[in-house]
Amino acid sequence: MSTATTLKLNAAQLTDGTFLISATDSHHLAVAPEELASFLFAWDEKSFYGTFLARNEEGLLLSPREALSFFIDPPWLRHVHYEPSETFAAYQHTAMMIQQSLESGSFLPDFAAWRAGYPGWKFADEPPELPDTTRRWLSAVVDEMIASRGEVERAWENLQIQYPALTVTGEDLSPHLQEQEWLQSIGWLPDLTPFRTCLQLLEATETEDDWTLQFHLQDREHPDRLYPIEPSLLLARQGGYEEIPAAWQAYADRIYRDLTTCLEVMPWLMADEASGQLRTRLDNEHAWLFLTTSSLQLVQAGIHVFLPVWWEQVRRTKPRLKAKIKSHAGTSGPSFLGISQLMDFEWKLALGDVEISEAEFAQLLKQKQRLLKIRGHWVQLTPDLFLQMQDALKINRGKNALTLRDVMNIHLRALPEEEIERPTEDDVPQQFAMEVELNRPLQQLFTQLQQTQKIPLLPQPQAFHGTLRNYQLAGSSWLWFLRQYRLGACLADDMGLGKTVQFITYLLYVKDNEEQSTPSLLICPTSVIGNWQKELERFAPSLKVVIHYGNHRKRQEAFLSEIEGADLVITSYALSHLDEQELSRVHWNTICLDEAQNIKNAYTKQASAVRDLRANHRIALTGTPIENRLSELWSIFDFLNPGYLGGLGEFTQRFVLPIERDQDKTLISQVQRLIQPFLLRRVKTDPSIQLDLPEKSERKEFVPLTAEQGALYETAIQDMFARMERASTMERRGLILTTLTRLKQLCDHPALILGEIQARDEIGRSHKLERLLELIEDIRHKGERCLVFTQYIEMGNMLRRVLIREGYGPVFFLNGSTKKEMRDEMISRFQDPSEDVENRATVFILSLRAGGTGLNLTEANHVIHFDRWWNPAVENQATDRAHRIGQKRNVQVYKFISLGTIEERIDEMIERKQSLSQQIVGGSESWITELSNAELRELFALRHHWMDTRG
Amino acid sequence: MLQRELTRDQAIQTGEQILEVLEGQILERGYTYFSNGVVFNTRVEDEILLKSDVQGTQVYHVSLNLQIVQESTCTCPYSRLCKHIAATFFQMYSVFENPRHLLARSQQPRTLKYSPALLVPPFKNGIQYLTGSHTDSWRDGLLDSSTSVAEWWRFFENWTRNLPSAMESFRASSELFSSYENLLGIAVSWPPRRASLFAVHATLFHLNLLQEFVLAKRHSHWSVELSQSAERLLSTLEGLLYYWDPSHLDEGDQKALIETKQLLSEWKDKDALSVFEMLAYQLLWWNLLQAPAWVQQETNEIDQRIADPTTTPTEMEKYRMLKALFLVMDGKDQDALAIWLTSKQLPLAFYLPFLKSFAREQDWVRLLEWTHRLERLIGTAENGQYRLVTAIWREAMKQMGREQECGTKLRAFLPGSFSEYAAFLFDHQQYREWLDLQLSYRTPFPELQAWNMKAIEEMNPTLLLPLFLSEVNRLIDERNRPAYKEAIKLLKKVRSLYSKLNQEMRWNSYLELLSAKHNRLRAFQEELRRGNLNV
Repeated sequence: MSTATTLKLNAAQLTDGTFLISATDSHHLAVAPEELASFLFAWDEKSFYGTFLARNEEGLLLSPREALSFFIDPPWLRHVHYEPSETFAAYQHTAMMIQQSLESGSFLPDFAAWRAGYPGWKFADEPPELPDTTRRWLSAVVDEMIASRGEVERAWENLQIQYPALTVTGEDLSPHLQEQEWLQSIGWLPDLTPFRTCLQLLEATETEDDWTLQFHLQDREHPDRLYPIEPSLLLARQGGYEEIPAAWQAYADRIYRDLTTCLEVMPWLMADEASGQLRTRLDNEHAWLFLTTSSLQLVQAGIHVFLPVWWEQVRRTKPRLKAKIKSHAGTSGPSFLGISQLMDFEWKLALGDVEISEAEFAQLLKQKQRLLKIRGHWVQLTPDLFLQMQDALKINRGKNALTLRDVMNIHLRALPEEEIERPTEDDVPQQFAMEVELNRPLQQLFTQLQQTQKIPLLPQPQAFHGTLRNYQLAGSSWLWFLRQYRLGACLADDMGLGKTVQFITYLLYVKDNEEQSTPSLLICPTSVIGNWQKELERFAPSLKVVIHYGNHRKRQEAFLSEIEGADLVITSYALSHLDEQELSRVHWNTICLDEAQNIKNAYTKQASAVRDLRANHRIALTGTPIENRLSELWSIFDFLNPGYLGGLGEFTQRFVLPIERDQDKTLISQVQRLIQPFLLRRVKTDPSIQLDLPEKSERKEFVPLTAEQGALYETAIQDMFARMERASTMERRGLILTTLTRLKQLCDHPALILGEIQARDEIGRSHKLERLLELIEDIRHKGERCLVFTQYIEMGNMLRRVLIREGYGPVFFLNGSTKKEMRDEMISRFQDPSEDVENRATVFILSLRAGGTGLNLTEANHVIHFDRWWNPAVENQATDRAHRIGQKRNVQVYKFISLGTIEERIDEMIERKQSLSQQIVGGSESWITELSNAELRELFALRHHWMDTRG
Repeated sequence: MLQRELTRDQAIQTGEQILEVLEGQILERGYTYFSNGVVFNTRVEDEILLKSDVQGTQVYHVSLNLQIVQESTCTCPYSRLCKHIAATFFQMYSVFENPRHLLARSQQPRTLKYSPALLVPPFKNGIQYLTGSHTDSWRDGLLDSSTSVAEWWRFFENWTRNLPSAMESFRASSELFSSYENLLGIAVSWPPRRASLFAVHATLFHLNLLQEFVLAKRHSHWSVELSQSAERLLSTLEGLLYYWDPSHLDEGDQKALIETKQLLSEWKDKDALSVFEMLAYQLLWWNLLQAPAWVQQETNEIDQRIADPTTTPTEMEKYRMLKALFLVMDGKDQDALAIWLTSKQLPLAFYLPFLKSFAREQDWVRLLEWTHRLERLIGTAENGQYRLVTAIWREAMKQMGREQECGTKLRAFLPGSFSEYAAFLFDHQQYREWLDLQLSYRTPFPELQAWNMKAIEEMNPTLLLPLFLSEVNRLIDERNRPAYKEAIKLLKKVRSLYSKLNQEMRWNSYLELLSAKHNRLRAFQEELRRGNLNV
């Protein structure tokens, strides 16, 4: 129990108007802000009992309004003795005064403040020598009330609309204005004049360059009664009162003052200084000036203005540049199309309903008119618009044709319809919108591209063995549809939805509907070649398939004769580069990249080799959601539709950098719109998919480190930091990555980094291993099977050794160096229920990289991730080896995490909602090397809290 | 044996009484005795008397009355229920129940039950009880009972020649009391009144010696050990004076008394008078030397010194303090208290003899006036003194028919009265006050009882919000995962409170703000998600 029940309170008003409340206890020690909050606001429901008050190191920070209620009625504890300091007590006193004047409404706008540039308030009857800070406090409280209370804010906005003079502050206020007048103009004091001075701009009727400016006095009581006046006479004080009611003549001064104001706002109104004659007829230039600026200034100065009704419409119209596609483009059928197809077009400038051709526009440019009446519509041409338009034409001049790529780019990048219609604010510089006007065939094509369900569904090919699901037919039909237009397609369905069969079906469509030509080419990771072979045999035995793989593969001329008459050639990514010579001799019917994320790094030779291959049609298959990984996305799309997204540099400048920097939503959705026509992605959870996949549930297995692991972990970190002091930048990066690997290995098992060939007491030295054995024992007991993923070959070997020794054999281990034949055999043995128990493994260990994709291991319904990878998508892909079509049982996923270690940190990062930029870096570890030492320490440091004390 | 002769119910019932009448410290010491196994020959006599022998400084014979514990006796010098009785009790109790549980209960805050015995000094009458184990008679005849006070003091000086250096080299308090008790042994066979006076002077002498020792060797620093020695001497003095019988004084006694008065009168001019000496001075004037003429003379002398312009401010302060005593004796309590309360930070112990004396005289009005002025001191006094004073105060309130005011008045005795006051507020369903008190004193959340909260939740759930929310804040500030987990548990409770209050909107905005406030605490966010408390 604390006996600090006496608090000495102090308060100070900071320069920004907030109050700092601090306190010391009975021992003259400062009370920590957190504690202070619960002492001072223990019963304050509004701040959730002090939880959400702003604070700094010294104490609590209260906004002027919070401070006001705090000083007046502190929600204090009754059993604490509070001793306010003198300043504190003085603030309490001031607060009472402010509160009273707020309650009785005895405060008014402070002209001095408005003049100084901000809306401020003062007390109705101020005591002499009132400190400025008190007045500022009052103002701040009123401001806060306006900002925080809906009804007050609305009332204030209404007031501002009714009395625009309220919005004028600082130098915009006329220097001649007196406080009294000002209070009248903002409606604080009643304006007792029976009339208002008004100006009316009348549209030219006969000619297009002749406007009339009419002065009126308007009866306040009967606003429909307008009395025209002659300003020149009145200004010269030479009569002119004949037309107005006799009673108003007493206000001659007022009329004079208003007219002077008009002259101040529009000095050009004075036509002739000598005669004092005012302009009443305006040309287009002056009319435009009046409409755009003067009218607003007049209203703010308290003069009423009547403008033509169409002005508001004109003001808000946003000019657009339109490329109108000539009507014959695209009509001659789809067959010749491609992304580089040229289209004829003509430029149009659209302003509201008015469209002007390029020639007409050139004519207008010469006239340099700002306000124009074109075909009965008034149009505003600002100087900015001239410039922008000239620029735009300069860029496009000489170009008399657009490619389909350009058309799609312009069309898809343009803002959706409703956003165009939305009026823009006056002070925002108008953005120059470009758009294309499509002709009918293109319109239809685009609709189909954007709404895949409008693409005609083809029947299942005769030659297909098996039954396709509806969404799979839709996918194949979509691929076929894009083929008609030679547009590259990316099929990015979730793992396990059957991308393979969709591509096989597509191949059958091609074979059925087109003349026999060259074969198609499929490039995929080595690990799945066997899988493809099996699936092709099973579903489309009629297709002739050549596997181009292995040491005995055919080269040079032999290659050409080998593939003669084949429907499909399958090869690996590695060979796509090595055998570039052979592969590039063929103009392929279709090139398909399976697991297309393999070319995500655009600069690799592999990727550029693949991009350089020639083909009628290009397809990419991928199971990872690529739309959020921008550079990967560019790489794949540049393969599919070369040039569509521009060069990589340009793409990076325009999209990648700004998106990573600002998370610009508009840009993100622009990218999405650009790629959407060529990307088909369905996920398992889509209701339209109607998959009956069993459920997948995930569980994290948190295990502590052993004492040995803990010690090694510490040593590794200390070692790194010690060596980092002398390391160059490159060495530092290397060091960090090595340490990272060491730490992760260490979490798996200490023997991995100690280089022990035959480790002793393997099980006791890693709780992960212990836990794994327990799990596998359970799994075997239920007669079920599991997959174990690890990133480290040595770990896989050790697991296999231990498991076999403990009697769980046979145990398979698939990794990058496993021969294709071995892989196929392991997979078929694992998958085949007719195999007898001695041959069939309970446990299948896979290295994450080699086994993470393409394989079909649905006989397992337990998936264990022995260590963590940064990117959850990679883990999920691995998990989906088991959780895919064919799985009949619920799948249980276990993720092993060593407590207190980097693994837990990784887990936390994955768990956090990932922003886009994190997904972009999410694939690799290189970003870690750019962290500061402090951040590294935070990331790597072992949290001792979790150290195992058993070991 | 005991199992057959007594029943569990009997043991439990006796245990409840023990808790009511024995002080925690005594119980604790008794438990130590019991667990050291120094209680033997335990037997039941007359069905309700539990007798035993306890090996203390020497063997004492205990008779524990199982029905009326307060009537138990022991042959040790301690006049109240002593540790030997407690040890005997535990010996019996342990046969039926776990004595540790009872001991634990005794350490919980509990109120002391008033009985006149509380006002009796803790030592029994008779000099033989004060001589400790020094009962051998070799000192008999070293000094004759007919000697004068001045001769006593010379003898003391002589007797303690080596004491200061021994105190410096060894444990000061042990040396001091060894010397003191030895000295008392000299008067064991004197006539009782003379022996008492002798003991009074021995006490004064040792107090003086202690003061000089502190001045010379410890640079005026009273360590806890030395203060306790002084307090112990004072409590002996109090006992001696309590049992002082002023009737039938013989000539020698009268002479010694006069000499005592003179000696004490000189004390007021001592340069450095310690608080303890001042208290001794007061005790003697109050209980021994209250003859009106003497008092008048002493008052006059003090007044003269106060009026003397050459008196230094420090001296002035001392004389005013001394003068206050005579104001009390003159019935001018308020003036006296005004001096004492403003001039120096005197501990509650300083006022205790007066309070006890008023209670003995059953002058309840006077007592309540004093407790009212001393509220702050009572609230901050150490636990034993607090319990004693409030027990007396409660009795006074009862006697004055103001018993029902006690609960609310307890507030004045904070923080000492914390648990009693809290219990009072709770029992009277003043829940908001109760929570306010807990929040003010920052009672650690886990120490609050679940049934308390439950009762409040049923009556007025809103009241719990500040408590829960501030605990959530505290847990989050601990910045570790177990604390986060706790916080999540509590947050779920908060959610149910809000929903009980039909304020789901408020809950939502709270959670949203909380999550935003701590958006950098990854582990906390994770726990939020795990607890399905996502925003």
